Amino acid sequence: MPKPPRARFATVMLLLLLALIPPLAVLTENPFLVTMFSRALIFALAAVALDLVMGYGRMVSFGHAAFFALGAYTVGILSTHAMQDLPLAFGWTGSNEALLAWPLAMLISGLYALLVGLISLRTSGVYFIMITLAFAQLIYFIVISLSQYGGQDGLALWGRNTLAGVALEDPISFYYACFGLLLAVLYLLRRLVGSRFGRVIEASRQNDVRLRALGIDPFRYRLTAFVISGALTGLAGALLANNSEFVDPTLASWMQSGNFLVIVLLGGIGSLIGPVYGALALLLMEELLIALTEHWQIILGPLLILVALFFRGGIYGALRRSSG
Amino acid sequence: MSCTRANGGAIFEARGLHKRFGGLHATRDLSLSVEVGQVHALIGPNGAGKTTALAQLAGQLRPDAGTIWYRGRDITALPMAARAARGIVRTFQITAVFEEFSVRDNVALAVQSRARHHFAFWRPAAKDRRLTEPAERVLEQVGLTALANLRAGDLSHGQKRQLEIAMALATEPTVLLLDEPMAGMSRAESETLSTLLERIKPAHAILLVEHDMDVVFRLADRVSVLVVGALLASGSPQEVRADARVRAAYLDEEAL
Repeated sequence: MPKPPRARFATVMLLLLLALIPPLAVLTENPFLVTMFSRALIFALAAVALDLVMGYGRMVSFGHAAFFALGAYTVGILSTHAMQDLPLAFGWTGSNEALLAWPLAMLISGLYALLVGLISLRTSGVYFIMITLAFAQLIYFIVISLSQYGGQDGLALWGRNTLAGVALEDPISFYYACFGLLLAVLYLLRRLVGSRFGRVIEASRQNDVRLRALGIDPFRYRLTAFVISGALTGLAGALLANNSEFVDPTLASWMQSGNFLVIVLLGGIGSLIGPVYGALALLLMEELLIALTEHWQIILGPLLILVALFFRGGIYGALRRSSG
Repeated sequence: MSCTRANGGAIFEARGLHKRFGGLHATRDLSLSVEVGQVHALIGPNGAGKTTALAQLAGQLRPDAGTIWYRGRDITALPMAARAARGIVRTFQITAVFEEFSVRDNVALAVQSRARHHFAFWRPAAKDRRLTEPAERVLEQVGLTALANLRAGDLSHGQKRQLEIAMALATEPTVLLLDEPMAGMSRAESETLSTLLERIKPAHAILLVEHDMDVVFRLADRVSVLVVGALLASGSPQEVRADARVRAAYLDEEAL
């Protein structure tokens, strides 16, 4: 579908703004902005991954926090072992190298997504939502019980990963690493949804029975999309562990899964770029409302309901429509 | 196997199908066969169980008893997607197209299903000539070329029916199971489709569930009459038309 010029212009502006956040933060002497926006980029990445399955395949996962937490804990655990020189398995003492830890985070999240998908994708609707939620709760209770990794209190990292030997301690380098990954994922998924594979996923959302009548059983393709989505959410988790230098069980909580759903719906479902708008909007609303009152959630909640009711396509959908 | 041969080269055959929904015996000991080059019409009053029978033949419903054979092999256990991939393709009475795709993309997806190559993540499907060119050819066959760029959801009812047929044809099926393809079509559209079916008939085995008796008697080589789930009569159009039981049960209502 061709993008209306105004929506395209807005997206170019948005990405340009994101590219300029670090110099703007330095110029305005607000260095905390860099870490704050890194966080927004990371949530955007997770929400973009969720949009792939939710927007294109109508797989409404209420359990993506599981993949997020698995990615984050992979980084946390590997780093802890590396720093303390503690054997993790087979005499291996973990690693603080991003090129090892991040792919491993994606692999572990992806494998868990495979398990969750194999079971949940045989259902749909409310059953799918409940099964994905249950699998996320399972991870939540597992990480709470990991007392050697902080249990309920969480696990503080000794420092950020190194990327090919280069430290990511500098918030600006880390910001651009997150931004680069988000752009790469947006591009890859844009290709993916336009491919033959993407066609099958979209068709399965529109009319599953018709697709079967054409000779295509969508299960394998939906499962593959779910695994890709889970692995990318794991990558976001790995980045978040680095950004906050801390991991804790709330990463796997149902509220975290809900957060991703809200970002996708707020930004615009089924557009991939929409969730980037959503993540930034949510972050800005939180910051603004926190400045107004400590009971900011009382305002945010109804606001989100209004958006869900009156902006069906979210922020990006509204941009698209307004340019007719 | 011997039965298949005895039946004179029927490529697709159902033997003794039964299907119950609770107290309703929707299919009772139904046997029928279709040969390549033949249109076999399945007719019967509303509620006779025609669509239920077709759903079992397509693999969408599992029969409670009986078997379904294709090219001498028992395919009763194969689900719909696997049967379609082998060339047994149905259309739907209640129009089912991918409403958000363009007309061309609907047919291109059907072409893609025949190519069986769906783990392609990179190349844009919309620009893939191996999909779009065969799709254009089928669209031309059914007379939808001018509407190729329209969103399928925006088509008229009759046009959606034509798109249904186009999608089925684009999978290059051997056995076509058509569930009331003419329902809701204009006279002209119905005429176009009849001509098309006549043209493709030599290379296909077609089972046609249809209400329009003019169409049935024009196209069918064989007619089976279904009444409350059971076959009342089966034979050439002339035999069936002359059958007193058929006249009593069904055809008189249609003012034949």
